[in-house]
Amino acid sequence: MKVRTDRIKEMAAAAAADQGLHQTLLAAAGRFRQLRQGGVAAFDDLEKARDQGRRVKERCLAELDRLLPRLEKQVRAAGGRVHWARDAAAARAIILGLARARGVKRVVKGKSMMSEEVGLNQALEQDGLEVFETDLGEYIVQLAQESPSHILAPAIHKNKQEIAALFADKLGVDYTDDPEELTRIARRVLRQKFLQADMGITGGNFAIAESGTLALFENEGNIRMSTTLPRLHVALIGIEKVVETYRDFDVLRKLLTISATGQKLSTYLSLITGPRRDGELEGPDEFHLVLLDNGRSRILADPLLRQSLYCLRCGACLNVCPVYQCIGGHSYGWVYSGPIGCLLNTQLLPRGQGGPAPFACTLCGACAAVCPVKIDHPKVMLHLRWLMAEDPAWPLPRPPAARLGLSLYAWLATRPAGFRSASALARLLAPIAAPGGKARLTPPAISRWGRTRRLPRWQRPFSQRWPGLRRRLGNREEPS
Amino acid sequence: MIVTSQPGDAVSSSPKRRRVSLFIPCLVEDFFPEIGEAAAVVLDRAGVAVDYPEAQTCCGQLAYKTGHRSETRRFARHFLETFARAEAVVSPSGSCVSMVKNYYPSLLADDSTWAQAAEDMAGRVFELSQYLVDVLGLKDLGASWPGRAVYHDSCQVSRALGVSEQPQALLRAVAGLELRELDGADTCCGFGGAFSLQFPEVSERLLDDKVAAIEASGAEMVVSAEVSCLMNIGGRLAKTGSPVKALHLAQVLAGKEARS
Amino acid sequence: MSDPAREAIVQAVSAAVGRGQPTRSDPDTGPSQVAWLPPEEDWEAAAASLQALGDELLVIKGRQELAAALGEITARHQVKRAVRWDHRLLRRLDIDRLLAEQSVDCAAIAGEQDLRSLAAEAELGVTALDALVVSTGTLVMRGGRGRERAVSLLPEVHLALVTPDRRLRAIKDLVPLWQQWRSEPGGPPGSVTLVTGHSRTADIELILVSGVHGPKYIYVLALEFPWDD
Ligand code: SF4
Ligand code: SF4
Repeated sequence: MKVRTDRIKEMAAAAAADQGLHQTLLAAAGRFRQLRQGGVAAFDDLEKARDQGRRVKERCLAELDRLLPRLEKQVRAAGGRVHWARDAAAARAIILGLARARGVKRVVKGKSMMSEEVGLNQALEQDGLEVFETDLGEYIVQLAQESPSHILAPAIHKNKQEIAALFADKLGVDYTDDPEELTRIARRVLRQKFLQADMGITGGNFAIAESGTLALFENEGNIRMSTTLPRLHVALIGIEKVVETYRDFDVLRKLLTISATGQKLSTYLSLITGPRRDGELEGPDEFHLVLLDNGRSRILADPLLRQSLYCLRCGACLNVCPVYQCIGGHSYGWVYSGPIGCLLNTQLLPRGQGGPAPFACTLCGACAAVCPVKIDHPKVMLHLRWLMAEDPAWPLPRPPAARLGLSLYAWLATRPAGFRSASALARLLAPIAAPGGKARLTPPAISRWGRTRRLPRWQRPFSQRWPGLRRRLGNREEPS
Repeated sequence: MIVTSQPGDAVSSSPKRRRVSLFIPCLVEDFFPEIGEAAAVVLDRAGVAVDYPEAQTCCGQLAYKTGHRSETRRFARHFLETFARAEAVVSPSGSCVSMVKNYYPSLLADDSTWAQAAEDMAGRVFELSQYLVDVLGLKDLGASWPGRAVYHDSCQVSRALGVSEQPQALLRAVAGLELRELDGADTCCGFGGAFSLQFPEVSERLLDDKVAAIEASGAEMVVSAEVSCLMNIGGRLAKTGSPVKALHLAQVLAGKEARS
Repeated sequence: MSDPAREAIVQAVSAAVGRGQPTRSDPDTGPSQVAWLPPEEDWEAAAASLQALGDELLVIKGRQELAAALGEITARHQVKRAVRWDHRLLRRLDIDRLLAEQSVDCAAIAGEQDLRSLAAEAELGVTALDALVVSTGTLVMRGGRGRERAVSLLPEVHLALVTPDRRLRAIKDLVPLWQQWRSEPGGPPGSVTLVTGHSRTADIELILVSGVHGPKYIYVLALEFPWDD
């Protein structure tokens, strides 16, 4: 997927101007919030479950160097194969290599952020393979040659008329904007693809180390199809998806579905351990698990940033984020969006390529308040801002003037008199720097602020009023 | 004046008068001094002795939230020095309190001289309503302010400090004030400090949503415990010529007399 | 078979987590016995859960009722062909004959070719259940020979038969069941599928649509009679 994270400001501005998009996003987020709320209301002690979930992730990641080999051993014992990919290119090469060696022609895919992360579709298509996304939302987005805009609802940015026109154009069916009809059309088209495909590619929500089991959640059934019908199943997961035991999995699975859609369980949960066994009539002949690092071990090394890897991809944080609801998924410029996107895009991409994502946030904390594994997004956001501002390994180009202004501001911090005279000077300059007037001295950002809001006026400062005010107070403190 | 007992004396017979040091953030100092005055009046009326350490400058929030920790440490040390002797520090701005309470300790954790002071301070710095309700146990301050109001549940007060019930309880006790429901009361108003300058279009969109909700509520005033939200929301209301007023909780509690 | 990528990743992870203080998993305090519900308990909770999902549970008190229920379901959905698991319960009940009486052609899947043609063309798939979670209406099915996943996936209607001794209260009660399966000689089952309601999507304007890829209708028949004689 093309990285456009450096353009987040422009894309955000354009999206913010799109009133229709804003309304769609608000409605969608509102609906998901409502679903989650319904589930949470019936949930017994969510707070306790969140603490438990957090602890499971903490422990499993702290043990990751042991869990990964254990998972590998168990997958092998069940007849599967494990591949290790250090980066996106390696993951693409592994999967492409498998497809070539087995003479694969058609590929069906289950919804997977990982596949977006490594840019898998493009690589497979360039190699002459036919690749079909099979989650309805993903299928729509693929037909439109776009990218998903929401973890849970990839095509949330398109209305049914647009989808109707797209189906009529690309599938040659009669125009209908009835969601039932459109779904039936997709079912019919994709059913053939499932039956013809040689390879199914999925992600995975969890991998259970003690048994080598992959857990997959979905509501549609396309993942079941992709893992049942083709003769090869390839699952691509990030190394952080490993949990130790089924019991650990049980703690996280309820948090995942409740937070995502308010469901106690998604419609389907598939627990897959290895390929088809001797004598069985269905299932893939081969099961391949690709474990991708792609920057994760680096995130793991920082005790504060590590929590970014706890994410279950439930999407709850997107649905409460005011910024996401205004700018939508595409504006973030890479695979992940919303609060978790600000964190992951910055950390998974090579340093310096993440753009100003951690600044695309008002630090309102709504995300952290709902996150099922208690990721403190604002805290991580601030940590990343700090790294970008002060750590030479995380370059964020900054105009020298801003740097100088900041140093001056900090220098004045310990000099109350200087601090006050600086504000007195600003007060003096205010009339000539007034926006709208001869605004030559007003920084453009401030004058933009002043175009939409009345700028506050300089007043006689509190510190000067205090002596008079103090005399009016009844409960004066005697000077000691 | 009641003569305070010696530190360490039993306080059961004659309760020692509580003392607070006012922490007036820079926005209040220069642009909204009347909010600072109102806070002082309210604390005074609650029977608390109020002082104002004149050496105070700024909590350094802007520097911190744009990633500049080394600069912020200067602010933090200066703050701790200025308020070192304060029994309690109270401010009418949630975000500044959160800065001191939630971020100073980790910021100075490796500073052998200041780490302990930062930890201690986190336990005695309060947002105004938090101090009134949680520490003093007050709800009704005898204020009167007739009219329909909504409460903007500012992020830096409600989520950063966990203070949401307190200001609303205080408002409910204000004579003549009708507290209405605000749709999306705890949704961000779009300010976010430097965010509003870096992502102005997004900030404005969020602000418009907030203002629309306020206007739809039929309220005559929107009340908040966070100065920066008031600057943002109030600035928009004023610009569009809306009759709705943006008021700080302290102003409402002080009553109309405190308006300057 | 040394894989440099493997070594590199495990090493990087090892360095990142820093060794020395091995964290231990929470003690395994849960019950090790599977908490099957008493067979005499009624089916109300399960029926309510399925109804909430838009599906149906029917309590069947005898062979007559079974035939009638099959008749009604196959008529309602105009079923002409059905596939089923090759499962003892279904053989004992002689599901093939009961369906044949309704002019429905039913057979177990005998070979791989069957799976693609039969399961893809049949309107009805019949399975048994390894467990039914009553609080959520979740159908639990192990995969394997004679227990093909495609049967509960490809046809538009899924019919699942369950006996009173296969009920669990909550999803967490699957933990000991899973542990039991895992410790069997062959290790954990190659596949376990949990089905909670029929296939659905809300990907178009968040409007809920049933039956995207999997079945649109689910019927659970609760067998309240001695079928094994
Ligand atoms: S960060 Fe938390 S809330 Fe957001 S998607 Fe991940 S798990 Fe869900
Ligand atoms: S803190 Fe930032 S990322 Fe989180 S919800 Fe608020 S604006 Fe979005």
